[in-house]
Amino acid sequence: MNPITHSIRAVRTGKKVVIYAFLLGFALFILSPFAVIIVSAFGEGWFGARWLPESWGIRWFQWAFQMTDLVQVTMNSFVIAALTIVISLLIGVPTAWAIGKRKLRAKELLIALILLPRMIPELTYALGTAKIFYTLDLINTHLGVALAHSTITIPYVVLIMSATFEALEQRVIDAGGVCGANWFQRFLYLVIPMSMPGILAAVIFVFVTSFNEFTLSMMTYGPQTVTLPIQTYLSIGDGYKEVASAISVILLIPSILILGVIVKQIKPENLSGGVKGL
Amino acid sequence: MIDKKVMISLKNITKKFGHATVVNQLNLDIYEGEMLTLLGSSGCGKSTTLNMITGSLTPDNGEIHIRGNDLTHVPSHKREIGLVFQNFALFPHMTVFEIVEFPLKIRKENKKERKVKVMEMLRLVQLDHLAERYPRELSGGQQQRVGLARALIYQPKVVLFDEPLSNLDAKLREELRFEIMNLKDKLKFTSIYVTHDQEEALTLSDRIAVMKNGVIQQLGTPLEIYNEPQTPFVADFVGISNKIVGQCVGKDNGHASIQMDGFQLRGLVKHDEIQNGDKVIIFIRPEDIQFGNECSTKENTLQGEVRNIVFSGERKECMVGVAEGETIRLYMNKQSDIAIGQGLFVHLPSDSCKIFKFFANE
Ligand SMILES: Nc1ncnc2c1ncn2[C@@H]1O[C@H](COP(=O)(O)OP(=O)(O)OP(=O)(O)O)[C@@H](O)[C@H]1O
Ligand SMILES: [Mg+2]
Repeated sequence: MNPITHSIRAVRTGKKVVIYAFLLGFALFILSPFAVIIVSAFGEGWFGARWLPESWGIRWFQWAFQMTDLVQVTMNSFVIAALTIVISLLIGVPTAWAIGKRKLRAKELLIALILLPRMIPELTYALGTAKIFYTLDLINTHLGVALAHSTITIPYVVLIMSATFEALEQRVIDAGGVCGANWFQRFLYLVIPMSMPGILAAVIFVFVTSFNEFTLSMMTYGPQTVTLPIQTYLSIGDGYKEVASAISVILLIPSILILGVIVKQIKPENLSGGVKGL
Repeated sequence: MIDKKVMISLKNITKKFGHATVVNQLNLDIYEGEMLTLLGSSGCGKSTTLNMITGSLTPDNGEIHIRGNDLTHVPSHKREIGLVFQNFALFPHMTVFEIVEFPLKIRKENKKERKVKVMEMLRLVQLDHLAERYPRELSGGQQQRVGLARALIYQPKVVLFDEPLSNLDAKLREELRFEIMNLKDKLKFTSIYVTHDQEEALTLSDRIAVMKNGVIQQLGTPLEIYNEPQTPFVADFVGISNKIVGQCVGKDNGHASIQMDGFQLRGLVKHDEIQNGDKVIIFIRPEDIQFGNECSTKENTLQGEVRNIVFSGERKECMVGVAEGETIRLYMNKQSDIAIGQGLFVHLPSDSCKIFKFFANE
């Protein structure tokens, strides 16, 4: 073999080894907490400084269902996430349209304003929210928790959707108008399908955020609106670390499913405009 | 022209973007069944004019009438106009069939009839075999055929074309040009065709409006525009001309004598007012120039030497040096055995020499 190609190959192999080492390290770093949660959720008799539990089983899941109203709690989480999605889109999409498609003068200022809630510590912000909600009697309602969640998800919806709308080609939408479509039909038949990758990304983001949100739920929940993260916290407080892990595993399931959807649907080609078969 | 019924009427249209006046008090009548071309260089306001007719833009001043109705403030979707875009502007998430069907769907036509009409239209533009494809799976020429089909499917009485062929290669341009002409004969729509390609304008149109800086410079048939340019801009922009700059030294009924560095020419003055001593510019087309080895007449005949020969396929183009820094382009038969360095008499017939006031090149 030619010595030059040989050495190039050696360098390439070397590079590959380094890249794989990094990827492996990264994966370990990301995945180790998950491993701990899963082991403690399924493990029984895991005491002291043992590396692995004595035996495996689903006892902690049974406990979780017996000790807490887990079905209701899961329902709460889903209902609140769904409400949060609806509220965030209803408020975020028109705002994003104004920012992305209209020539607003104070565009930057508006974006800064929208991001403001994210610039102060969440706890401080949550305290303020709770105060207002007590006044409005929104505590212990699904809508209340969803509204609280929306305050942090709307900025992201606005950011994702305004970038999506900005990238839409105005000529294509104009073409719809010339073809006879009024603004509503243009929005329904052209803007929404063409923005689908962005909308999907926003929905997934809002769902995951709401489903896992802790601080704001903490400040606005009531006995009727306990969510999965709150229940996890309460279980830890009651001293049942393993039950908390079991609940966390349940909490993980939708996130993993959604991750699957993301990987499947959000291909780069879909994001760059040509949206096929969505 | 057929029967001169006005279809589209632009009355004193003005459009400004910020401080720039892009279309300036434009008046134009387009007759029923006519193909009128807006010809002008990039940025002269052609697309802006079209967009005001479709309703994507609203004029700052003036009115737009179609078949006698004032449509100036009617929204785009109620105007029943067809538009073919320069960059196609197809709906990326729909198949060819769905794109062409879209205007009918919006008009709530019966689904079965829709299908029949769409397939018929697709056959007409030779795309019936690609109905299930998405735009990004098509070539540029095929995409523009979809654009054509989408603009024609609802049988608008007025179809506008905004440089529909400028994104295609030369061969395809010509092919589609003929297709557009055929479709127009078949479907009998009135159209405004925007282009910066003068060949396209000359071959396609019943009339041409040459535009510059948002103002129409000249309106006429292709023959009039080519043979009788009324402004130096039109003379320069349409077709190829020799341009010779000199000074007016004498006038007699419609003609003027122009002095250049080392020679004099007589030419026709028609559209500009010219005084003795004015700086002027003479336009003469290469195909109007006569040449030979002997000198037959004295007037407007110059002695020169062939400096360069370019073979363009259909003819030979010669650059003949006639004086210091002055070369004249003329066309020769492709068989002619002309050689560089050869001496030649060139005759510039005085009625083909069009004299205008000198204008600063913009
Ligand atoms: N929305 C806009 N805002 C500001 N200026 C604009 C806008 N649209 C067009 N212009 C300007 O108006 C002028 C005319 O534009 P227009 O698109 O009508 O040109 P055109 O004749 O179609 O040129 P081309 O042959 O390049 O398409 C240009 O100088 C352009 O920069
Ligand atoms: Mg244009």
